[in-house]
Amino acid sequence: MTTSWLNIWNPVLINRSNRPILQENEYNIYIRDNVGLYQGRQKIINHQNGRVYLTNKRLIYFDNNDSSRSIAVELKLFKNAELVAGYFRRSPKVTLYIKTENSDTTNIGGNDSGSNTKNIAIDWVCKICSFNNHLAADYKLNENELPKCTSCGIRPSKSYLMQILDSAQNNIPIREDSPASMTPEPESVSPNNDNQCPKCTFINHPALRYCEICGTELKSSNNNNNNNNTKLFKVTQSLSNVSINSNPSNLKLETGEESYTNNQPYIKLSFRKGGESKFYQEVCKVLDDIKWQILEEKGGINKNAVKLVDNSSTVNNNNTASGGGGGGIHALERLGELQRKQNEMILTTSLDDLEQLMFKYQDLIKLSTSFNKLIKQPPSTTSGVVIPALSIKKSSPLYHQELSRHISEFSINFKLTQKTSMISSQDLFAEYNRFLIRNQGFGSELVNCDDFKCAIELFEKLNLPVVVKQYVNSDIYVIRPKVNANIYGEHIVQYLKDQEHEYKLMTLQREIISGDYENINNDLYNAVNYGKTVSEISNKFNWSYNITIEELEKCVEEGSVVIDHHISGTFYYVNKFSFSETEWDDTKEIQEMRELLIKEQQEITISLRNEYDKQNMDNLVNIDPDYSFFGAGNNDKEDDLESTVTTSVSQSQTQSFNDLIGLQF
Amino acid sequence: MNHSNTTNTDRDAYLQLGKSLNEQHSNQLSTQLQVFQSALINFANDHGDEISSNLEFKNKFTQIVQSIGIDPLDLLLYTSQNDRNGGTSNSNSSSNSSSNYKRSNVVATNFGVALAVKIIEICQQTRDLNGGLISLKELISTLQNSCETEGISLVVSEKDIESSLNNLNTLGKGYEILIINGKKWLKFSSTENLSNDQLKIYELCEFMGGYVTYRLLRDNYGWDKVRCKTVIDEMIMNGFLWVDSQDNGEWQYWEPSWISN
Repeated sequence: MTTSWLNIWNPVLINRSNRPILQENEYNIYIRDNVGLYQGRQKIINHQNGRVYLTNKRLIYFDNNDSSRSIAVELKLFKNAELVAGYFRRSPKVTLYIKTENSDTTNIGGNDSGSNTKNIAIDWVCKICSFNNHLAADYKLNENELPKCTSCGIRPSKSYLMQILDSAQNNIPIREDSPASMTPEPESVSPNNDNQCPKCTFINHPALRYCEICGTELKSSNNNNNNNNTKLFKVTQSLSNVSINSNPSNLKLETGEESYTNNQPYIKLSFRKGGESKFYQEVCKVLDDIKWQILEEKGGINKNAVKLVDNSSTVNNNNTASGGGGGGIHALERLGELQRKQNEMILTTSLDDLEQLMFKYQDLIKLSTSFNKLIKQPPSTTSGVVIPALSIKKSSPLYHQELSRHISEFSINFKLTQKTSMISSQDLFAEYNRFLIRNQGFGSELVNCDDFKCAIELFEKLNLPVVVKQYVNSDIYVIRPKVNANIYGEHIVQYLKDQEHEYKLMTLQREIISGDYENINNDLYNAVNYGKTVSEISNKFNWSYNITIEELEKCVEEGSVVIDHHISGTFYYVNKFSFSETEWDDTKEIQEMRELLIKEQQEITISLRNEYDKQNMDNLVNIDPDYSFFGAGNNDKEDDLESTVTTSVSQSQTQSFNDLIGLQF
Repeated sequence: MNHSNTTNTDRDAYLQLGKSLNEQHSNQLSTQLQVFQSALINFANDHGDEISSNLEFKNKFTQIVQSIGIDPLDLLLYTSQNDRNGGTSNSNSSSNSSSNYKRSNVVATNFGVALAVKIIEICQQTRDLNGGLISLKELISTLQNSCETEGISLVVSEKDIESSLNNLNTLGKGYEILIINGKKWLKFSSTENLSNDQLKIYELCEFMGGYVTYRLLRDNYGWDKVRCKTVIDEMIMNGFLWVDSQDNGEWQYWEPSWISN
């Protein structure tokens, strides 16, 4: 039975500077070059010349020839390490033994299945309540008492039990005189007689060993043990085939097959140029840390521990209790005094020694927030990109290569963020050391100028995405992205052209709105303001002053830029003397811009006129309803007058009738 | 009437009492802060090696130092300086073992690199003020002033600065030392060399208390007006001189580093 252990290797994520991307909470411990990989006794082909990164979680192999072949393995899969010394032509090696808990588990399972077959229980059915009872195999009829039924408590007869025991030994099912058994069964069921329960006649699944209904042991379990064993063996072989096929990295061994000493799987690392003893020490330390973490997670540490009561917290409680009562100004003074006393207590106890300072770390951070209004906070640059620390000693021959990659990574993420970015070597030196002391903390070793120069000279050799460039005139070294170097002049000229165009447009707009069409051409050429200075160009392209001056001098020498020396500064313009009349035609451009502005003004005028007309229409509509309303009011008043006149006429007639009635002629 | 007068008097008394309480509290907190800063600095001096060796201690100590308001680079500069002096005495007193030699070498390297970083940062900050020409005296005083605000007393000599600048020049040109009237000046971020006329103007600025005028140049050097105007305008254009047009009669042209001299 052979299983493959090549599936422990996984691919690795790599960044642009040819360094592995680390996982969360992962950091480098040891780096070594000229390392080859072994799986057991065999070499892994095409993985014999690379770097090994030992982190707190993984072992990463980084191939020097082809970075896509880089692989890694989790360190928690290993149980211990061993150092093998070199011997004549054999290079020294470190052996890492793989944990084999799975194989032990399968063996244990096998043993359990073996022991299960021996313990076969005997079943007997109660005559009265027909409950299925169990009887131990070691039961002896003559020595022990008769068993009771667990359901009704009545003992069976001795002759009945003798029949059951005899049938169990001979593996013969019992034929009881019951009405169900007297009925003849159909012939189609008889070939499956092994699956049928001998007691309740339920036809079970062939794989079952006990009846699904009454729990009686089936005949097939006893008769077909060999068949089951062969089936299990086939399943195991198919599983092993799957494990052989699951080789994610497509690793190939020297002789094709894996072979391990003492049948115990392991990997080996061959150190061809030294470093094996240091690596061995670090690996043992990391494996011990991993074991300790696993033990902590299981809760195997500090089970019976009793936490000590902190005296300082007790004293603080007493102080707060005493300060709780009282009010008014005196209480305010007391609160201030309490705060100052707490500050003094934290400060005095925290600086006794280093352990005490680390213990009081959280208290000090909280305390410093109360001092915030008294401290001028430095401007903290919140950088989203996290670069892992360069944890390698200067005595190592790999130091300059790793430093070169680290500087390249820092440059790409923080400084050379634009396509046209450049930075001088001194500025990068200062920024990088500032970055080191901010991230790695006080007391870390800074990089001196000689090491920095060696590192930046290795950029081209290591095929990194940044390049060192030297300006011959001023002997300045500049770091820039790997882009064509001649495009900087074009960028400058384009920038100056854009500024000039914007200035012209603004000037024409101002002239047209004020209505003064005279002296436009003269004013344009007499203007000084649209030239650009060194500081403005530096801010535009994110360059240092030195770099900007160098590039501008190069443009001036080529003839694409001209200079205007003035007391307020040096201004740079596009060189129009080298262009022909048709290429650079100011009159045509001015006319185009003028037409554009006039069109814009006409659109504004039309919109204003439309708005004015709408307002006038609204005024006209409001007049008619008022007039009709006034006319309707007049009509109502006339009706009232008519009704009044009618009433007065009727009253005068009644008076005349009364006067005639009273007279006697 | 008496009641209103009494109320105003009480309000004023309460205001003064509140002010005095706040001032007292702030003063005592400031005192505690200064004491804690100096204690941290001495702590870093005593336990620098332990902090450097342990990664967790290093990170936590750096956070404490930054939150209190101390720049960790200045602290490294100070401890490196003290270790360098202490290392020298140790090497004199005891035998020269290899570990002592290696440790003092590392400390000297850290001091030089930290000083170089500070020099580059100061040059970048003051370029717009002085046009790229600063005297070493002003550089030293700027360094010490920035450290003194954090409670660190730094002693840096011109020889230290020169050695740092010599190391920087291995990375290419850009930081050059000039000598004017026996005084040393640092020229940075400027590719053009100063002409002899410009150097003479700076010499006269030092004699005359920081400024020159056309009349002074004519009287001392015998220059005519056109030559004076050409040189001074060029220096103003490059940012080496500041114009002062408020004096009666004649304009004065000042050098920026005069303030620190």
